[in-house]
Amino acid sequence: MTMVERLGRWRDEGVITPAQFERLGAIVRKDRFSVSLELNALLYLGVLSIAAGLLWTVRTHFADLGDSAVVLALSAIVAVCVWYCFSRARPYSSGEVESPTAIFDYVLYLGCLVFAIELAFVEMRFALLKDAWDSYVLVSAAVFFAAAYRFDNRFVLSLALSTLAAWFGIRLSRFGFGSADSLRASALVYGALVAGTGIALQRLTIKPHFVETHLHVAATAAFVALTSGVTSANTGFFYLFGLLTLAVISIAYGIRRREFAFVAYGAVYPYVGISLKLVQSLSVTTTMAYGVVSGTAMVIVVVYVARRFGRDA
Amino acid sequence: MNLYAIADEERIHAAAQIREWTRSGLLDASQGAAIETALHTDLKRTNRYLRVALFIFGTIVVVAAFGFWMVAFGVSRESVVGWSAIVAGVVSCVLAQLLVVQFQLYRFGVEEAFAVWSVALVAVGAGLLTSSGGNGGDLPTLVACVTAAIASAFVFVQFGYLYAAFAAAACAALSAFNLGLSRDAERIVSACVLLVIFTVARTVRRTHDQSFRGDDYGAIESLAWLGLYAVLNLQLSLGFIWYSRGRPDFSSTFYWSTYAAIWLLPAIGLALAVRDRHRMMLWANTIMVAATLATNKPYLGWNRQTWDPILFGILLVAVATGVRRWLLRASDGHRGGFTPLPLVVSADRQVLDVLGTLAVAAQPFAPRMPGETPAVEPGRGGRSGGGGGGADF
Repeated sequence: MTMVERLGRWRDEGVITPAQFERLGAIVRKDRFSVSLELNALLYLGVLSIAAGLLWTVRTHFADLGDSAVVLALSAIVAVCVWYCFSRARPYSSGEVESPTAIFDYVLYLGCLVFAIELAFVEMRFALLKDAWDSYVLVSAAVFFAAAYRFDNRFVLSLALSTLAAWFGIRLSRFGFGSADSLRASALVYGALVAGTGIALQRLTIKPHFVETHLHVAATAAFVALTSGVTSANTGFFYLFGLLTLAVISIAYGIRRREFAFVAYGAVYPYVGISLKLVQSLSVTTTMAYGVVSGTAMVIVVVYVARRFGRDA
Repeated sequence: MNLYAIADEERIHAAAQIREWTRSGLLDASQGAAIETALHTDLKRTNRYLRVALFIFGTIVVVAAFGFWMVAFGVSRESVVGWSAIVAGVVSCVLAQLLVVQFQLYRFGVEEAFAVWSVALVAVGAGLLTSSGGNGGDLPTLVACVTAAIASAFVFVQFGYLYAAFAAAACAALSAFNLGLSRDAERIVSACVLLVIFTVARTVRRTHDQSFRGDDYGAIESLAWLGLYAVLNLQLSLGFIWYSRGRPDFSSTFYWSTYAAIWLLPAIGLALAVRDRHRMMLWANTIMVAATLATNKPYLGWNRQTWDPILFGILLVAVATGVRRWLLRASDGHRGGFTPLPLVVSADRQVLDVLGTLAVAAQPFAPRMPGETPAVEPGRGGRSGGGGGGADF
């Protein structure tokens, strides 16, 4: 039975109104076809491409262009973006706010990206803050957080979180196993700060819909840091203890709030951590046997959790 | 052939649509709940995150079990490894079927892992057996690709996993690169294979329009079309794909024919997508247009400029805003049914939220450890000194 036939049956049975039938039928039959998502994707890619091109151009040609020209040009772009956003923005609300125009979110994102490029250029060329150069990054993160919360923009929030991570000495996209203890400690402090801020703001009902982004980023940073530290010679067991504790918290939170990504984090990362620790002292044959037994056990446990708590598709 | 009843799958897809419509306010919560209850099936499902976790653990079980067999019994002869892989693949597939038939699992992750790894094991086994028979050159890879294509198609037909169909199409297309043909011919054969897949999927899709099967075949059709473009765009694969051993020698006629093709294919595809209101084709052809613009200069042998991405970005923004305004200017805010406004708000927002969260990967500042000083002197150039041609940030 096609969806249109189902809709007809529901209308005849009185489950949906004739008006709903018309509207939903038009969507299913594609009499109405929205290209909203496609246009948003083009805008997002366009902004990223412009920012990448600006960065490339400034990096390659700043000697020819001159410092003043570069700073003036970048400042002009930032100023136009800021003017556009403040002139079009709806009044602040602590709840979710619809974008006033179709391009509003992307203009703000472009402004923030260009601002970051400009700050990086100024720091590189003039080194005004000398040894305290990293303050530029912290200031940027603060500006991005303010913009994200003022204008309710998730792209800029993600930019703020990654910029804060940069300040903590973490490069999220490249952070992997074998990192130094100092980086792991930074990642853990970063994770705690991001999660704590997100939860605190949620409790204050300030943009509570942002909390998920905070928690996903925080959980990823903390889990990766702890998992990568499990094999450390001296501190491995501390990391393992931390990993298991975080897993319990993550799973409990995930089940209570029905956010099953956190249940998955709490299952996969500790498994990887424990396995890394165990296989160090096992022969190849025993490692394989361990894989079969532990993998099967984890399948059973996760299937139980899925059947007991996570039936939603 | 499919392990699931069509009626069950239809109900599942209908329930998913009802959920989206309810979230978007097109249906009341009470209406949504009542309809969803009526669409209940006995198939056991889970949410996407636990599905991924179960896929990972299922993968560990399959790989470790095969590894244990190899290590514990000291299997090292190529032919024995090949047969072991084939047997393990068949066992894995049977286990996946058992999980579906016995426990009624539907997109649960663990049975998917068994099915997916059965394809990999059988394909690798077939390749190794061919190699152990004294056949060198491209033949073992060809056999592995063809076997993977057939096995993936089998998994798609049995379980309905769309990604298995994608794998089947990709493996079938890759087979052409192992036939010992000339550089031109292997791409022509590969393109023909993808064109056949595109045509078949398109024909089947049109007969299943407005059903969930139609969406699946539409996705296969779009992917085959995208693959056809990727095979014919020589600049996409030069020095990138493992098949290109150095700069291949393409004939001038072939080279310029492919240049024409990379402009024609997206144009034809976009026309078809708009006519059929086919979202996947719209996405595929948008990607193709972007790829054509990005590879145009290398195709013509022109140098890329640093401001090319700026112009490209401005073009994308201009097209997006232009199309939006053009559609909105029409009466009722749509032209021929096309509207720039979201119809199912929650679905669009979900994608944009994911995109927004993934934007965390965009990091404008390269982090340095505290205490590390900038690489250049204030007001001066870079490491190479003077004017600072080598400076970087």
